[in-house]
Amino acid sequence: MFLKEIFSLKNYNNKLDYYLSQMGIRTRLFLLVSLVLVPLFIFHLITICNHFEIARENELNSIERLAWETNAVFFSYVQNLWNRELTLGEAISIQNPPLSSDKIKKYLQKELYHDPTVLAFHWINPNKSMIVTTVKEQRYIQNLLTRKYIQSIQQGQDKVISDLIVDDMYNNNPVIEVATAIRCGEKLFGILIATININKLDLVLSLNNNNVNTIGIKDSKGQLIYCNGISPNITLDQRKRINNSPSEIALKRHMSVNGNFYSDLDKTYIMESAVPIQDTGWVAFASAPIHEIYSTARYKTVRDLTTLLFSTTLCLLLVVLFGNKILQPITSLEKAAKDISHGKLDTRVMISGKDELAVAGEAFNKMAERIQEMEENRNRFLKIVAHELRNPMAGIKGIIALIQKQITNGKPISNMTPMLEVADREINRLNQLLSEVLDTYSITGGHLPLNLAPVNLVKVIRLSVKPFLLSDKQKHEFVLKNVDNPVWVIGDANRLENVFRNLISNAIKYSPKGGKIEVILKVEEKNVVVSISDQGIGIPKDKLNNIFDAFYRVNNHLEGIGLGLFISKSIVQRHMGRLWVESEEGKGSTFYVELPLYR
Amino acid sequence: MAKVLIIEDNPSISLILKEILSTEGHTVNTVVDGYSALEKLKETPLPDIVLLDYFMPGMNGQDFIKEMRTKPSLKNIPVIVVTGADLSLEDFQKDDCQAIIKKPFDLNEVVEKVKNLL
Repeated sequence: MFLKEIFSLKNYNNKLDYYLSQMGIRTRLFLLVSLVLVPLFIFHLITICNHFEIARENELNSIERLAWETNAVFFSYVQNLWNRELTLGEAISIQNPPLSSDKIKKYLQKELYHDPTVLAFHWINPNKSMIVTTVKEQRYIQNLLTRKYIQSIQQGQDKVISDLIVDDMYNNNPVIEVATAIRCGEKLFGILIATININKLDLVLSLNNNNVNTIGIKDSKGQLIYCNGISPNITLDQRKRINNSPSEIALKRHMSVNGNFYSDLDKTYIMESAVPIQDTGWVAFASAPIHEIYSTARYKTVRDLTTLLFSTTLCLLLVVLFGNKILQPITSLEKAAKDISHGKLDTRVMISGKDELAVAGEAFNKMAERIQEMEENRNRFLKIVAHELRNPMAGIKGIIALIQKQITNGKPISNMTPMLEVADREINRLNQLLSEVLDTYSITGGHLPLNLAPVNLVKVIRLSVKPFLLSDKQKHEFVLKNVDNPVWVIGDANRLENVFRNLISNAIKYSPKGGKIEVILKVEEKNVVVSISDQGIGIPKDKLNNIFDAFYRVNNHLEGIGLGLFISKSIVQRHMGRLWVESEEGKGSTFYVELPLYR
Repeated sequence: MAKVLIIEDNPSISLILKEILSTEGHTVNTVVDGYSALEKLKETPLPDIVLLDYFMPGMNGQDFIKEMRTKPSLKNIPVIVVTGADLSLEDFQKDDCQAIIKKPFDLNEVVEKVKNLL
């Protein structure tokens, strides 16, 4: 089971790898950046939502606070009024003898000037036989006696407030009346009533309020008494409008209520906070259209969202921009690789900087250079091989033609023997060339055959030098040192002989006539080193590294295929040895062959 | 018959060319590189025609032609380049060489080309 799980996970990994490999490197980079960006984006989005919520809550709190303030201000206003009425009433009732109605009226009128919100004062004596009022029009004063609160006062209540009154007495202007019972113990001395012009309530309720929020007061029947920002001329119907607003719920339940409702009047959703006003059965409220409340929060949210989107977009754009910049070297590498595969071997990439890609670019250029060099070498090799093969072939062909001519002319061919010897030599030369080419391919293929056996290196060196001693017509001076005692190594005698013959032949080729060629054998602790020195032209320093390469020739005009040193070095290396050169231009070169001793 | 100078480092080729041309009755001299050839050309009589190997140690064919053409006495001697490389007459400056013999060559080709330039 567990194994199965691992297997499926591996499978999943494989699938992931597969999908990733299908994407472009650009897409992968984008994905990587998105992995960081998306969580940040979501986090910011949540933060913005929270800010919106907090802003909404703050607005709600400020409305609620405003409702409480309205409540407090209005209640203290009403209480003040009650207290003043009490003082006034007591002042009237304690007079002995009792004041005449005229005097009371004057007294009340004087009091009117102190308060612009009060439209009129009325005094009613306990048996309702005397009604004194500051209202000019005396026709309807009997209406006062029909007020419900008069009954309440007679039933023992001291401080009362009427609901909205629309009465002939006040020319049908809406008012409210605040009344106080003046008593001495249980005995009622009179009732003092103040009529309040509700249109003047602005003077009382001008709270420190922004223009957005509405504050207001409703009487116990839910009729609108005061509301800022509403025309004083609104109809009674409009004042009586009943909707399912929090203020009405607060009236019914005698508790503070917050909530939203749809206002027919404003044709919009409104958030309202309502608080009952104590001792009155009224309610104070504050409200604001929901769209207004949200507008501030929304403005901030929109601003934050815009900033977020803008910065995210900018970030992604920069990613694309920088991505392209980063990927540009890869693209140019890709293009260069394609060009090279199509045969444009001189293609190089231009990547500046010191980063990994620049290093890769440099490595790529080196590789391209190497490929170009190898391709050039191959072409040169083919040309050289063709050229070198044609020389012996030309000789053989010429000899055949000569013999043919002799035969055609009926002449004897016995004098042609030296020519046949030449032909034989040329065939040997052809054979040697082919061996070199084949050896090179064996070496590059990694399977140069060796017949290993204990070999006396001194004998090998003597054998290598011998043919040159006989054939060298330029009279070089050959010096052999330390070649008296046998020195044994494990190796292929023929191959080693080839190596020394090649090195000596080179020494001869690059030496002036009569130059000294020294072959010195030196036995060390574990190795034997053979040095072959000449007094020739030497090798330029910048070419020392290349001379052991296949097909490399220091001087292109020289005869030879350019494989000798390459093959020699490979043979020595196969013998666990080393072949190297020290050279000074104009003075000569020394080639060293180091081989492990056999004991 | 004519005097021919063969400049060729490969002894076999040199020998065969000499054999072919002597059979035709020409007087043939051989040298192994450009330097020896320039030395040889100081002597009189001058050859009527030069057969020149292109790739040689020391002074190669190209350098030899340049050097030879600077000398008034040698300026007008026709040169035939003998080469195993893929060279054509277009590879040479006008008047540098007058013919090319490609290795491996045909006996008659050598005889003909020499004859044409005499």
